[in-house]
Order: sequence, then C-alpha cells, then structure tokens
Amino acid sequence: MSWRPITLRLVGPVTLVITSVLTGCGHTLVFAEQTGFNLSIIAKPSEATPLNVNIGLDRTVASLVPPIHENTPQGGVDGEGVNMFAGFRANYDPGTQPLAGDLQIRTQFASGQAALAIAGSPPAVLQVVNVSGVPLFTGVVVDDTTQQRKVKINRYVRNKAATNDKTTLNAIASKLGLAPDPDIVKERNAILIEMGKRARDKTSMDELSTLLKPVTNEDF
Amino acid sequence: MATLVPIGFDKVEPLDKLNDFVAQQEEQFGPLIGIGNDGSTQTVLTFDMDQDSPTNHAVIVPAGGALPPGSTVICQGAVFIAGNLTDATGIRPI
Repeated sequence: MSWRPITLRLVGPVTLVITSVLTGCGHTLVFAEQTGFNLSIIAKPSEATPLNVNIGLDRTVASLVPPIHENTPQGGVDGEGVNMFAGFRANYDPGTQPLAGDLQIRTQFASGQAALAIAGSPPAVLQVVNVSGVPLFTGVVVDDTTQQRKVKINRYVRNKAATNDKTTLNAIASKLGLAPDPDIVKERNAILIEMGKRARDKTSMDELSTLLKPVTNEDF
Repeated sequence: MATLVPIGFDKVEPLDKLNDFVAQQEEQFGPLIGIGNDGSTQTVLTFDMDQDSPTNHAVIVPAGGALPPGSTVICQGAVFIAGNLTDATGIRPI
C-alpha cells in the first residue's frame, strides 16, 4: 500500500493579518483571498478499487470594511462604511475524462472611490457583483397572443402589489410554490419572475392561467 | 432603488429575434439596463424591475456602426448573435 498526499495552500489569512498590522487597523479597507487545493491519492493494489483520488478546493474571500468616521464622544462609529462591491464564483466543468475538467474562479472587486463612482449606476454594480453571469432563467420569444396574455397577468400582479393586496399575492405565491415574503415588492418580483419563467408558449400559458384562476377568478 | 433581473437567451438566435426578445421582456420586467453573456451558451440581458416598462423598446445593434439620430446609448457588452460572440450596444430610440 502506498499513500501520497499533496497539499498546496496559499497564504490569504496571513496576508490579511499582516496587512491589518501594517495599516494599523485604520481607515484602510482590506480585501484578501485564500485558495486551498488538496489532492490525495491512495493506491491499494490488493483491493477491488485499487486507486482512490480525492480533490478538494477551499476558497475564502474576506474583507475588513472600516467606518469612514469614528468620532462620536463614546468612541463609536459615526457614518457609513467605506464603499465596496465584490463578487465571487467558482465553477467546475468535469469534462469527459477523470481529472481533466476545468476549474474556473472569478473574482471582481471595487472599493473606495471606484465603488462610490459606480454606486449610482446599477449596470456597473451588476458587472462587478454578478461575477457568474448566470441568468435567473432562459427565456424564449413567444407568439403575439401569448405575449399579450403574459403582459395582462403581469399587470394584474403589479396592480395587486400597488394596491397592497398582500392576501392575493400570498395566494398566488402559494400556487406557484413560492414562499411568502413579508416585503410585498420582493414577493411581487418573485411572482413575476416565476410567471415569466413558466409561460413559454400557448400551452404553458394556458396551464399558468388555469393554475391561478382559483385565486384571480380571471382567464388570462 | 433598482431590482436587477438577468435573463438568458439562446446563443443561436439571430439579431432580430434577440431584439424581439428584448421588447417582450421589457413589457414585463422593465427597461433593459445591461447586456452580456454567460461565457458559453447564452446572451444575458439585465432588466430593472423597479422601473416602468418603457414606451420605446431598447434595440441591440452591433458595436461600431452608426446609431440612429437621437437614440440614447443604454449599455455596451458582448452578446451572442447567431452563435457568434459580438460586441454590441444597447440603444433606446426616440
């Protein structure tokens, strides 16, 4: 029997501590990353499974976000933190052969003046935060009649939210298998997204209309 | 306040279908505010659900070309057009 572990570990936490010391824990934002990669290969020629391979990835992203001011008489914090936006995602494509996949790690980060500059621009924030690029769902172009029906039911739900009809929205959410949200706007948005996801053609729109009719008392 | 909704669209679709899709989604999820891709299979369009649907729907055009007079540039990014990753601009006509 032979056993051979291989370990490679980067020094993110150490870097974080050292940087904190060097900056005196002042008004300096610190952003650190750690990647730990572990590979263990166990060969047992005498057993039914002669070779066992374990691979592990441990990825940590951490930040120290200081306040802008610390000037209350009690020595407490007065004001907001330093601006920062960050996004992180790891994705593994296993490929066709064992151990031949691709591991992709994406990290994006903006702080200080850069974060402040993009704070008023949702598209720019999205580009930083949404590292994955993964959409909530994949849509299709529908025929004109189905689109009119989708818009009609969409407006129905928006109207219920605008008139604060939480009871109806909760009932619709329940029909769609969504958990009720105490925030009516969040619940409205979750319903709209779920309906948009489901209604992909005439048949699925019929199904959606039928499903919700006990609540809406309307045909969409 | 903005609630951003990223929605995917199949990479094989041509530009006219992509713009039909943009118009249909804007009717439900508000104005288009961002365009991009997931790196392999889809164009990713981002809408702001907290804004009202626009009267004039956004149009995606290949980057570098002349823009219609008076149109407003909304966003820029790389999208799939008929399977090809293409630099594009999102505009809103008058």
